[in-house]
Amino acid sequence: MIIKFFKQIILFVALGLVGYIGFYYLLDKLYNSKSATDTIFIWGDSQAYRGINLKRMNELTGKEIYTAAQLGAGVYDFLVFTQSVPKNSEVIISLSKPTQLRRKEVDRNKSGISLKALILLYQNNYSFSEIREIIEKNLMPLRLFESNSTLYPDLDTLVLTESLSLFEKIYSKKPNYLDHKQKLYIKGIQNLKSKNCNITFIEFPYHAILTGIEKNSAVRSHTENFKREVANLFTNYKSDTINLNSPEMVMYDLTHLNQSGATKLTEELVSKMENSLITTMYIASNGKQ
Amino acid sequence: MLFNSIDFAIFLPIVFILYWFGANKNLKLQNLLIVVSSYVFYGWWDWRFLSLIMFSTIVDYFVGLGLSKQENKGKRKILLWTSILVNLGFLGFFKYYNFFLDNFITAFSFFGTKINANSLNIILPVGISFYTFQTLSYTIDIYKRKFVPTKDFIAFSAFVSFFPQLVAGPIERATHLLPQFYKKRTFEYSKAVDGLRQILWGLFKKIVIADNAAEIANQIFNNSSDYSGSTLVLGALFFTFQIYGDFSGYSDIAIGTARLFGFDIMRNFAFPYFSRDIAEFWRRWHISLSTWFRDYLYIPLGGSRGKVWMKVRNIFIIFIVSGFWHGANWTFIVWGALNAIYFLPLMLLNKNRINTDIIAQGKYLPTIKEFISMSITFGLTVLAWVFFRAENIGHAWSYLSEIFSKSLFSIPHFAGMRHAMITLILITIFCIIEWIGRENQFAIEKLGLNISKPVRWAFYYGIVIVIFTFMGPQQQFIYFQF
Repeated sequence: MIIKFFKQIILFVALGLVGYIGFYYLLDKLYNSKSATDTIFIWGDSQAYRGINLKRMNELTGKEIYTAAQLGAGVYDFLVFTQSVPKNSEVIISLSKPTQLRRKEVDRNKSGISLKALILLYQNNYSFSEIREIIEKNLMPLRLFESNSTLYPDLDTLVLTESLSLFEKIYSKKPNYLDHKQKLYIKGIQNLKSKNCNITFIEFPYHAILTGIEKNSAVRSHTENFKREVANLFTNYKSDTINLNSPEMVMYDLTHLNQSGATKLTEELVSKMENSLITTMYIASNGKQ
Repeated sequence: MLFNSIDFAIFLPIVFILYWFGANKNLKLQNLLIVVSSYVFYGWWDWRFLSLIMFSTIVDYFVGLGLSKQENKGKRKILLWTSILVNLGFLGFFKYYNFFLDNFITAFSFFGTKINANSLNIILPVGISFYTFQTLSYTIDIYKRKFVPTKDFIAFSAFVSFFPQLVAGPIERATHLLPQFYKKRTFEYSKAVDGLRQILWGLFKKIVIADNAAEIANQIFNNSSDYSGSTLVLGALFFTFQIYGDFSGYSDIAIGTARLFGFDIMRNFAFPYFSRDIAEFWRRWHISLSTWFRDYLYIPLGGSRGKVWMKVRNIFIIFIVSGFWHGANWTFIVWGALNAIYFLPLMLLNKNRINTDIIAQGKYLPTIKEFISMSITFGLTVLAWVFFRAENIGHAWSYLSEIFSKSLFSIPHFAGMRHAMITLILITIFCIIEWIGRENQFAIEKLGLNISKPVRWAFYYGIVIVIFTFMGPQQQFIYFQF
């Protein structure tokens, strides 16, 4: 009797799993299957989500713009992104310092399930329970690429939601997971390279107050080394700046651009991208703001 | 460990396989496996509090043996009180210490005396209200010579800590559950399948109904001063389904899990929201606790015998104690008292046992009279739940006064209206299924049993899909805090 019970359970679970995987695959295809032609894909965290004006970019390039940038996005989200973009795509990536420094457990990790990405995490010091939490967050397929984003409004004063001491604390000590995270980002970039993607990097500006803290911090050398590592992946690579210096406010808070800042950055970025033939890291600067 | 967690989804099959394939030839080994896995289950939350369960087990085991050997009335009483004081002592300290302290301070300050005493930062051990009542039933029954104590310490430990019902019931009686640990369990296919079906339904109730309703109820109750009366009615309604889905869902999973291991544990809910009067509601809601109080408190107090004032006193005592059992807050006491007020007219008019059958038995729909009675009972219950859910009495009053104001006739509005609409649709479907299955032990017990397997399985898959699609944010079971 118990053997019959087990057989029935196994059959029920197996059928269910097959159905679930099929359902997941179909829905994922429906949500996230995009063409590489005349399309730009963006990845980053909240800095990229708030920092690029998708509508303006669409107007200027005439291309479809999809962003997978999400608030609090982390390395798992990046790995899934690199697997989801089609071959020969044009991608804009922002590997901000918070995406590297943020604690693993507060990373968003919500981009759908990718076995490949999960295995990579496991090979790079993620524990079973951390991986299990990621799976729990992604039991249903998600729309990874959005064609709309909400920009922060233009205000006369800076919005200060987090204390400076918090930033000082984050930048004061190199976290023990930083090397693993950076290694995983490198793997993601290599994946994009192997898919023959045209990659553009962008570093969004901080407010001048934060730049000061960050420049003298203990983690600075590690994030700068990471930039060099990224550069070394390409035979043709250059660094360029985007100047957002303006009499108007371009920052909404200490780390995010406002609507004017995002639009200005988008316009500058598009014009520079059109004239660039090699992989470029654009570093946006906001002058004294 | 939560029933609705991946941890439990891994834990259960492991214990099940070990139980039926590793320990199936030896009853003692099976019982020992239950004890060990129950301790793992409980220790997953906080292993330090296992010592309380172990201590309670040892005390009641030896008190039971002592009672069986002792003929001297006085000494028997001492033994019984040892068990009562130890069990209720733990319960009193962990659950009620701060409540009594705060109220004493308030009472003395009212008379002008200032007392300086600090509340303690006490963690309430999960399930303490449940397993202490279960072990108490053991010693009280032995004291009353209704039950012969066990000499098998492992069987007794398994009875006290049996993981399916350890942390939130049903509160079992020794007379019913303990003998099942003495007998060899054989695997019954139909019982196990039935158990799985009940687990599935329990998960649906908890994850889809309770967790979604909880999100809305929390939003409305936590910001009640911002909302109109009509929105507050919605909040109370969502809480009504949250608490039912949460607690009866837990009970279903507990009963279903026990059946997988060859045990029958008592029913805890019998479609209470289809009751036609409050007396019927209380025969159908948290049955294991209501019957516990009936047998160990109400009947010893005299029950419904004696003069009118005795009856009134007993009713108030049982409902207030029952309310207080739920937590150290005046809101629970008022909730209990309110139910006593609801119940009293029925008992005094001798109408508390007129609805003992199932509503509209054998019919599709209730009569108009039945429908009206059911709606009134449901309305009274919703009203009482406001006290149960409110932070304090003041909160409950302000909540109710806003409900009974002009704003009751406005259109409900709050930030989560879309989510509320989806949850309302799910609740409606849930109520229809519960109505169809109301003559069974649980709603889907016999649903589709006479149709072909593929269709039946498709129905189960449908429930699984709904669970994954509409799962609300994981919430702890409400009754874990009691």
